[in-house]
Amino acid sequence: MRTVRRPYIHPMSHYPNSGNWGGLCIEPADRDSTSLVTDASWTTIAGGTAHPKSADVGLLYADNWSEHRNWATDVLPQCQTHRRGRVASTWAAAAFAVSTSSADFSLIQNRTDPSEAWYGFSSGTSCRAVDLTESSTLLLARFATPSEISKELSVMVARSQFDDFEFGVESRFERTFSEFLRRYGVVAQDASVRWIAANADKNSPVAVRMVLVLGGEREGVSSEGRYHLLTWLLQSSSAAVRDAAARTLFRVPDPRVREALKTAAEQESNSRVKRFISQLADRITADL
Amino acid sequence: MTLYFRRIEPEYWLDDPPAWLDPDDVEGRQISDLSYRMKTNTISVYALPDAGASTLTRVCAAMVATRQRVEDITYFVFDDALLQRASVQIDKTVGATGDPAVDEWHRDLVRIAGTSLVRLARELRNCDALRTLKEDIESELVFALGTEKRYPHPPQIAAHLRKKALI
Repeated sequence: MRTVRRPYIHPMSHYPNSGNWGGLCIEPADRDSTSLVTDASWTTIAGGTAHPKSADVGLLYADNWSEHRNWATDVLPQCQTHRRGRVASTWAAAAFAVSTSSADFSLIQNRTDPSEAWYGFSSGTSCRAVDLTESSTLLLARFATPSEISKELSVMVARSQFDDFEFGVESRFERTFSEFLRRYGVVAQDASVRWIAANADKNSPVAVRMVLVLGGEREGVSSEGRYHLLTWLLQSSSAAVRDAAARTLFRVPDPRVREALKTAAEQESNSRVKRFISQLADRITADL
Repeated sequence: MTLYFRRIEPEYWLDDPPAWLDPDDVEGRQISDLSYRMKTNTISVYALPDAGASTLTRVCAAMVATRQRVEDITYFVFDDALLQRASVQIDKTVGATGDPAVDEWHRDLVRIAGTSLVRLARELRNCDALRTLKEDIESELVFALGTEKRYPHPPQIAAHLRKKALI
């Protein structure tokens, strides 16, 4: 049962000493409603900026929405103490970006349905209280990736041709890709998954390294999120990507991994990958 | 019959052959994997005393010891018949992993020319690929460094293991 769904840029800028704060916020349709308690879904997840040197990211949450009516006195202080941290709330969450620049974005993801996320770009140096669905000054796209971020990823991939993907050594691509994910959060993840889906067959070495980084332990990404991402990548058209997804999934601490690997092994058409995935599933069974 | 070990980059060998590839031919990137940083027309392999899991893990650990991080290692294990089919000669040369036994097992496939590279890749393509997981490699390294003091000099990977509080 969900009665939330009113994302907007929260009017933080007029709060004293708050700087140019702004953020995307999911609120209950009816502020007096306690439906968020039963919804228990909105969390995290990312705020970002295209100018990390002049901005920072804050994460803001309210453990009990009904107790946090006053954003200025109740919520804003928490925001400042949760920079670059993971949101622990299960009831309500918002991500805020603070910036002296333009083109910042905020993003909120639905924990129980990770495919659902909302994000917004603010076009000014301070944010206004605008309903994103109505604003012409904001770019809001649901399930779409901002072109700037996709373009940055494309440039990164193009530069990877000069990289040595050397065994046992972190490549320049992996370093820059990790930083890219850290900076843009779920939006970057979305762009990367799209790139893998479109290019894995043509450039599996880069796709494999993306999978290993995407599915590996990352700040702000839960085991749940990794599990969903990697099980999805197990469906890739590239056998090398499926293999990379399986061995990364193998290291996700989730009780469903063994079953997911067994199923993947059964469905695998490539004999080598099938054996490798079976090896992983058997290993988990043996360790139980 | 001697068995040989050759590490590979799995992404070059796992994908199904592309539709444009002649069935008798090999992919350019497979050649590239075999000839990575080739300077002396040789390809490095290890002659295994046996193909048991402990031997394979020991070779993998020795290879990782000179690196910065532990990864799963994927490799081909093949016999001399494959080298004969590929018309490739072999020389005994000492390895540089730091594990004296593994270094003793090191061999070079020598006089590698373009055609022999293609022949070798074609033969290897049909081999079974094996994999040792990084968890096993880490355990082997911890054993080698802690209990056996196998490496006379602290390998590069020791810093990684210390960081993970494994040693």
